[in-house]
Amino acid sequence: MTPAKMVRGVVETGRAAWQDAVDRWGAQGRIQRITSCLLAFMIVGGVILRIQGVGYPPHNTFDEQFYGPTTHHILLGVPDLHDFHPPLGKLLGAIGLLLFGFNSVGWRFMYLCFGLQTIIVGFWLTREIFASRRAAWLAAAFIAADGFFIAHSRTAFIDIMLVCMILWSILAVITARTWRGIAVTGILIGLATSIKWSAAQTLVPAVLVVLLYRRVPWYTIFWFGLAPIVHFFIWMVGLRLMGHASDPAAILAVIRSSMTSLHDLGKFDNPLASAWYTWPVFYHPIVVKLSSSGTTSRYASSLGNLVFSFPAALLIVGLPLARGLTTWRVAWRRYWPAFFDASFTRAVLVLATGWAALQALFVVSMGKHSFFYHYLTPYAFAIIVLAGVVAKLERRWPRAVLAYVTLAVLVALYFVPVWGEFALTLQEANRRLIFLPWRP
Amino acid sequence: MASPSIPETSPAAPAPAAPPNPEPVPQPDVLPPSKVTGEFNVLCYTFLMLFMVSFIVWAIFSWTGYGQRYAPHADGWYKGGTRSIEVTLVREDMQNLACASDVAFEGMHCAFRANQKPFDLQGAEDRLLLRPYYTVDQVLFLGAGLWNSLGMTGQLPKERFSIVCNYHMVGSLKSASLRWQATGPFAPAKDAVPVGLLTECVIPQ
Repeated sequence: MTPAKMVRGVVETGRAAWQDAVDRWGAQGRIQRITSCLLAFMIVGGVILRIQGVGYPPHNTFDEQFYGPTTHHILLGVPDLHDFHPPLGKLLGAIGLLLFGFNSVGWRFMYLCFGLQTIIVGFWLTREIFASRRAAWLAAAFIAADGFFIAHSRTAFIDIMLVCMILWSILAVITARTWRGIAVTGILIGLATSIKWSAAQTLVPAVLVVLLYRRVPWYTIFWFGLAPIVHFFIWMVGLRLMGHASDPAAILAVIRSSMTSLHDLGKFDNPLASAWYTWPVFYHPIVVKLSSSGTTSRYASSLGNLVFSFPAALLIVGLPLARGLTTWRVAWRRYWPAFFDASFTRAVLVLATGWAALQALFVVSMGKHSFFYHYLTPYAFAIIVLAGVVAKLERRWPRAVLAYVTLAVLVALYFVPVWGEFALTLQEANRRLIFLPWRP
Repeated sequence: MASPSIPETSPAAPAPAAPPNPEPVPQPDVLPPSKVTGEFNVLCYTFLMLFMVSFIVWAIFSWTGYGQRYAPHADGWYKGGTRSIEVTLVREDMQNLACASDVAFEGMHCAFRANQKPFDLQGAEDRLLLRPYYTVDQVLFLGAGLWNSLGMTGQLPKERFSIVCNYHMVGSLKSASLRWQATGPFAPAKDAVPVGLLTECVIPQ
């Protein structure tokens, strides 16, 4: 293919996409159009909010010390194992340092890119799992206008890479039609696990997709065995770049030592720690970036958009329970099909399983080493369920959905200063971070 | 011919008037079954999107000089960087601490070659002689000029003491052996070690 043909192909694709958008806009009712404008506002605003002033403050804040400097040491070949997590997050973060040097923009660049990419992957996953473009746009807008994702996109903090890679893994398994798709999913789960070990729990919803959707034979799940191979390979590369021994025995020793250290951390009290069951109600969100200058301070709080967080938690717990109850009681069996078809039910079950599985580790084994940011990935699953339900409701009650989205925009506008690090006095910040556990 | 599912209207009945500016009826937004056979299309789109996102953000930051604005504020553990470090010592460390390597950085080198013979038979100035130290947060590095900067051992405390210096990193050394006692053996460093010059050392009061 010649370059001219490629350029022509891209132009034609863009033109077709534009025409498609115009046609869809024409097919929407007036209320839906207003809702669409608000969704577009949320997406554009969310993108701008993530990018603006991301380099401030020009020093490490919160846990950035584990990732910025460590990434730099990887590039220098200087040994550094003071971060316990696998090396892929830092290896990806190194791209920012190569582009911008070792400064706050350099060490936050790739995390910002993954924060933006999470909106895109969230869009595609919702589109594929609910087979609905509207649900996809809603999910993209909800992720874009949620403080939990915004604050983490602005911080050199590997959890935003983790959530992106996990959603990508689920997208891969949802779109898989042959063993090759399952193999790609295995690789992606291996990559996600090489950012944080907790991503291994993605295997649970991934296996469920294979068994529930039956688009590929059940035995293709053995291709998920690629995940540990990829994980091992990433460790080898990381250790070699850092100037450590990278033979299998050394890798196992480092993994064992890191896991022991992480486990031991769970024995110590930490004022920022919070129990897993408090996460869905946003009891103790963490201010992941905080800097002061004179009488003002800048906050990046991981407090979510309250209009999304509570309904999302209710739905992701309530819908599977409702499904169970309607199966259990013969008299109630007719209610579920009246609202939800089989494909919607499957999607909710997969997402709810992902939500539960990705918290399971913190329920059973991490002791006191559990923090609100561990809820970021489960929360993404909950947001996608919320988007699917809202898209369904919009077909019957477009006005109600417009009111809901408007409320979400208003709440976002109120909390934007403490999500996007605007200069605030203490009173202005406390007016938004109302409860004591919300404050730094 | 009319479809049987559509009720025919009587020719005598008046046709209902069309409402002015009819509002489009909201269409269900369920995607049709995919006709795309390539299962990797969506993954390719999203993968390309990551490249595009990264490229666009990089272009914006580069074009506006945004990265440069923050460049001078880095932490200093990089080649060419300067940072403040804290080390604890005893006076005897001047004789105790030594390294062995054939590599020199901007004139700075270890007291011994890799074969553990003296590097310079005439003896080297302290500001050119690399020694191994650990910072108080347990980072191993090779530094030259510490004792020279402190004014040698004249007024140094007899007990263990702490000093703060500016450390200018000039490189990283992988093949060094380290000694921590004057009569002790050299042991190879397992990992690469930062190399640099220590200046303006002070004993915090």
